[in-house]
Amino acid sequence: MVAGRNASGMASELGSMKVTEQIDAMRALGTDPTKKLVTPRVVSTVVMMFFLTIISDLVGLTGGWICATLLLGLDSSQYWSQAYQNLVNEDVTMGLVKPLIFGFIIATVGCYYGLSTKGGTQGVGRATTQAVVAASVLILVVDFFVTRLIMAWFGSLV
Amino acid sequence: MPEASTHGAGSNGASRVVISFEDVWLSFEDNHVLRGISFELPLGETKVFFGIAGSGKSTILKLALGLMKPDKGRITVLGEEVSSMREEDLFELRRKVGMVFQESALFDSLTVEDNVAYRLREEHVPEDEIHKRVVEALEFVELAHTLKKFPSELSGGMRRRVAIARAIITKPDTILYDSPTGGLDPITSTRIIELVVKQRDVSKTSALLVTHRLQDAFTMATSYFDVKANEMRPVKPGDHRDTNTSFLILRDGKVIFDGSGPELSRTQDEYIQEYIS
Repeated sequence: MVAGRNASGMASELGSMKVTEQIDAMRALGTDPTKKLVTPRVVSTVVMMFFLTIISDLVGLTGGWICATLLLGLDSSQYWSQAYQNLVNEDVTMGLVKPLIFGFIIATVGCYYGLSTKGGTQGVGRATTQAVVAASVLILVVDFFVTRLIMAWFGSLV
Repeated sequence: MPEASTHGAGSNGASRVVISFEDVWLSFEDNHVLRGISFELPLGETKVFFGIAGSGKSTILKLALGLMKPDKGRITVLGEEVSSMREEDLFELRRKVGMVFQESALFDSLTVEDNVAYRLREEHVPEDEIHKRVVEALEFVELAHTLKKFPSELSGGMRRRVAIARAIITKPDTILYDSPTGGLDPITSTRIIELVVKQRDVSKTSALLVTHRLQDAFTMATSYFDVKANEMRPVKPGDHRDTNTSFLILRDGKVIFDGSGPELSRTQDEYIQEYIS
């Protein structure tokens, strides 16, 4: 979801700047567009993905609690103690390391396609689509390797 | 005002060359845009580039600013060889060269004030001085009342004038104008050309100017800026006033003419005659 929203947003914004010569203007004014446009986006996406994941996990847990108590009639304290008992370090680590990597992928892919845009407004549309596809596929592939790596780190590989 | 002739090109005897292209070649895949371009821009002169769309006029400006690299050849700007400089080193040189882009290229998300102040903020100039200089630059283009407006709220002509203000705020030695009057009505175009002439005659900057409008170029070559009257005036016949303007015509990636206005009007080349008629 974040890849679709953010990578496309960055690609289209930077792509529009590229085709309207704003990127060239920035270079002409003595500024490095990478430092000015890419670095802040990468840093903010990585940081915010981390906190967004924490918020998402909390919302998920709360949703589970509402379903468990209202629909399934479970006891509230039983739900929370079970949830806590089933939570292991590996889950927490994996859940907090992956957003950092995914945030980096989303921002760099989005900025890369945005700054590589060619061919007017049609090019902006193309760059946006390519950014979403590339970021999504890359996240799926990297997710596989990161999961294996963290599982190996925790010695869970059978 | 200096006394000379309206010939412009090289007639002031300026020996210092601001921009020089030596046998510059550039291709985009199979499209050979520039085929051995060579020319020199002397100090204080404005060179106007003509040529049909796609003849490589804008590309020459981007090459001069190091925004693109040539396939072959040597480009020197203010004594530094931009064709072989690294991007990081080019930032310093670009601070001495102003550029007005074809479609203004103002930053959409910034106000007029922030757009014009952009370079000064990057150089960490104190805020009160920035404000003073921004107002001064916008007064030069007669747009001091647009400080808080966004580019989307301005007309095409106003955006070009803001772009000129952004280019001149650091008082650069050289300015590159990429079709500053393109797509504008004749009245607004004349107003923009008046600003270019004002910049040429008041600040004595050297410039490369790309245009499709012959009328603009001839206005530049035959007019001067009267500081007292604060307006552009035509050079009267017999008035030996140097307008420091020369012409360069491109065809099929090559320079087919490089000289003064009178030389251009005397040329026997059929293509040029057809072009300027």
